[in-house]
Amino acid sequence: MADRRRGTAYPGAAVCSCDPIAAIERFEEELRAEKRHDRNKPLKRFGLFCLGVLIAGLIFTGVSLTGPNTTTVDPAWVNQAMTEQVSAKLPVGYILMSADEHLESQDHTIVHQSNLDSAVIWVWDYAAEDGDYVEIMHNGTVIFEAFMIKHAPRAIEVPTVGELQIRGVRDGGGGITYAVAFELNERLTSTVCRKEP
Amino acid sequence: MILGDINTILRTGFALGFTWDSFLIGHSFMIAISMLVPPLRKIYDYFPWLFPYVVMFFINSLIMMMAVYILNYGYEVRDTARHVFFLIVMLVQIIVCRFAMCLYFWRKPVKPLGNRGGDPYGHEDEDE
Repeated sequence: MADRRRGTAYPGAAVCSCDPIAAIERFEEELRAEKRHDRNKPLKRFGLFCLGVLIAGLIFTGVSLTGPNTTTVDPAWVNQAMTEQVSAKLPVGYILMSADEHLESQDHTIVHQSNLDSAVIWVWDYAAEDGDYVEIMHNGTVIFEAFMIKHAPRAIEVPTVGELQIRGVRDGGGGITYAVAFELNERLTSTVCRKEP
Repeated sequence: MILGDINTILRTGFALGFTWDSFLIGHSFMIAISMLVPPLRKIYDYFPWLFPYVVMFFINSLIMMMAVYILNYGYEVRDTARHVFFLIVMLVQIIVCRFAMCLYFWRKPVKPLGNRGGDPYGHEDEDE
């Protein structure tokens, strides 16, 4: 290396008639560029890894955010659900609002002619997904342990006769905002929206 | 922060109403552009220790976020058996992931980058 710095030829150098000092400077520049490239390789590799994590995170978050409300609904149905708090037209899992807003607490009686002993209900959070918990009770007995309601509806099998109570257990903030859809004979009968203070 | 969330879940017995998605997305975006965009990459030349720090920080955060996610999922239903199961799954996940991380960095250590504009031969202090 000392020889190279004095400007003498080094083994393997191309023989040319140009200035040896310029050739050495060119060589040093190429070495620096190669070293920079080698030094940037781990950064680029990790940067691409972070980019992959970013894309995966965006896909995952986007799927969870856009899932329930992909179907278009008539705004009149939404207004009816907000005022009457019952709807036979809104799809299961429809998100009415982005934040927890005030709705009255109401009890609903559903009359049906089904002969089946059990039916499926769908429970979800129709407002902000903020960690609200509810439990399902039938005739005063807990039939489904307290669970967190989310935008994705949870299907629960319940008896078709008797008093079904959905009781709020924990408020994640802004009130417990849950919606229930009742399915009898494979038809959706009604969706009830309720907020417990 | 993340450890605090794990403590909150275990103490209250309820899952959190949020996850660390936005934190993960924000950090991975910033780190990705800082490493892929050449003018921004210079910060790693000015602070050679920054690259290994960022790598270790990000991977550690990723592991802990996965742990919170697993525990959060387990605590979504109030069932003691389910809580215990997912707590064990979370602990196993942390141990396995950290072991894998240590093994990887033992085989391919993350080194601080060389000084900015230094001698291309790496012999700055050598006498001529």
